[in-house]
Amino acid sequence: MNGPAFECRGLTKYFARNPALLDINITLPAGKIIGLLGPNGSGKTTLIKLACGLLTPTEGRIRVCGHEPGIESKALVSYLPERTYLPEWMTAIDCLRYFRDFYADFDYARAVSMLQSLQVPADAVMKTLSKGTKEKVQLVLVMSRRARLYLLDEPIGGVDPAAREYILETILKNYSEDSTVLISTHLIADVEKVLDEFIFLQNGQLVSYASTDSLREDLGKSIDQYFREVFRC
Amino acid sequence: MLSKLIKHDFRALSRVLLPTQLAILAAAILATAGFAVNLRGSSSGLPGEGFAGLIRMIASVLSAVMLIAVIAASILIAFIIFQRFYKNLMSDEGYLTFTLPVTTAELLWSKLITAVLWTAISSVVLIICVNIFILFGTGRGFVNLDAYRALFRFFGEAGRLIGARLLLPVAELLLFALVATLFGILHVYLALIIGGVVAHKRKLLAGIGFYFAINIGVSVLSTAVQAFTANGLVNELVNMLNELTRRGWSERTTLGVYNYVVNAVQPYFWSQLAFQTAVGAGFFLLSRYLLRSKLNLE
Repeated sequence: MNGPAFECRGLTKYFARNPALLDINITLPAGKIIGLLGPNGSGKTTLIKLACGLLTPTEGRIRVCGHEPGIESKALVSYLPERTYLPEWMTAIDCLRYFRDFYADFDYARAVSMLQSLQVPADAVMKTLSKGTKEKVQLVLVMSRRARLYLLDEPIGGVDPAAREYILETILKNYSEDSTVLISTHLIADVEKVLDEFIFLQNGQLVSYASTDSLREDLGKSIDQYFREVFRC
Repeated sequence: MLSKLIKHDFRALSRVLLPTQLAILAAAILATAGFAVNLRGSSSGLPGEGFAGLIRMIASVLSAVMLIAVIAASILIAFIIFQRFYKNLMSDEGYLTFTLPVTTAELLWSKLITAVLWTAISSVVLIICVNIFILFGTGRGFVNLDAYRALFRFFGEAGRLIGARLLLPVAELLLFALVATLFGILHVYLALIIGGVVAHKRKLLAGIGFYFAINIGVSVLSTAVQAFTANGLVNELVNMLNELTRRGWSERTTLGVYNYVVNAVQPYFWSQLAFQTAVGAGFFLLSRYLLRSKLNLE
């Protein structure tokens, strides 16, 4: 084991004068599947984007697999954004070749097999695919890497329930002692069964970080129930 | 990784620019054909009325439209290059680009090298277009070689008189064209980056605004540099012309004038080259800093 997969100290991010994250201190171990949960605007996407180097912190520091966000961390992190980021003119196979060129840990054969399992037409141009199918292509790309840290922002939000099952199975298959999966989602009931730990964020602040087992044992509640209690409107 | 980035950037641009270049060539051929039909109709005394007149009118309209198309497509190429830069870095595609395990400098070099390559290809296509026009559009026969004969005669005589030193201004012009192209591309890139990093909304519009703001700053600096070099150059050239008027012209003076002008231009040329190189390097470093330390893809 090579230390924590993700670590941040005093991490703060403002957009103009609006705080998105406030003084977050957290250390995520390797080999866990962790849910990043919270209502809309709680800072989940901001935290993930800071870890990917797509945003610059206003204050504090962040380390991913022992590195500050940069070329070393990017080689170890597999990131699935909440939006479609693939060029519209590329085909699914073009995208696979693109990933094979840049990521040494990309398993091309596995990606082709996953495309077939998800019934994604490999030669179809992205522009012609539905939003859900584009998200499947992105998921195939991201989960076909042997990364140290998977940062999945709403991975099952746009796909049908059958595909959700397949995606969660895929995530479980990738689970190893060396890799950590951080899943940000609203669909807690769907992902709950695969989570080892969970993080609750609210208004940019850390509300709780605990293991799902301790929640069940100590409070006798599921994460979904607990979430509804904490974030009751 | 740089070669892989260049490969993918070049491919992405080729997808749009290759058909554009072919369209430019086709438009140039049509413009040449239209001009040639009109010119030959006119020189062979065809009437400007009736069917022949209609054909000549269609040919001249076709020629004009295609000429405009060639110019428009050449401008479009620059637009496509910059649009690709913006889309690939500052839009949703940036989520993919900036999570690749490559350095910011590699990203910039890749975009710069592919833009320069496509600018060079576009220039070659335009030169081919001009040659098609001269060869097939301007003579009485099908092919006109008169212009080339005159050009070869001129360079032959100039080469005999001046020798290998004739190549110096050519090499300098090529070097200057390369540096000016790099400078121009980096100027636009920096403006788009500042717009993308600083503005929260209407980033592209902000980028255009920053382009003009940077342009004003560079113009002021450039004028200051020219003030040191250009005044001396103008004075020297005026003195030389006065001297020539006084002495009269001969083949010997041609060589003397050539050497004099080339020598007089050197300080101006090298100072401008150094200025553009230094400012261009500044653009590159500032772009790299902003993308590395101030990136905020919202």
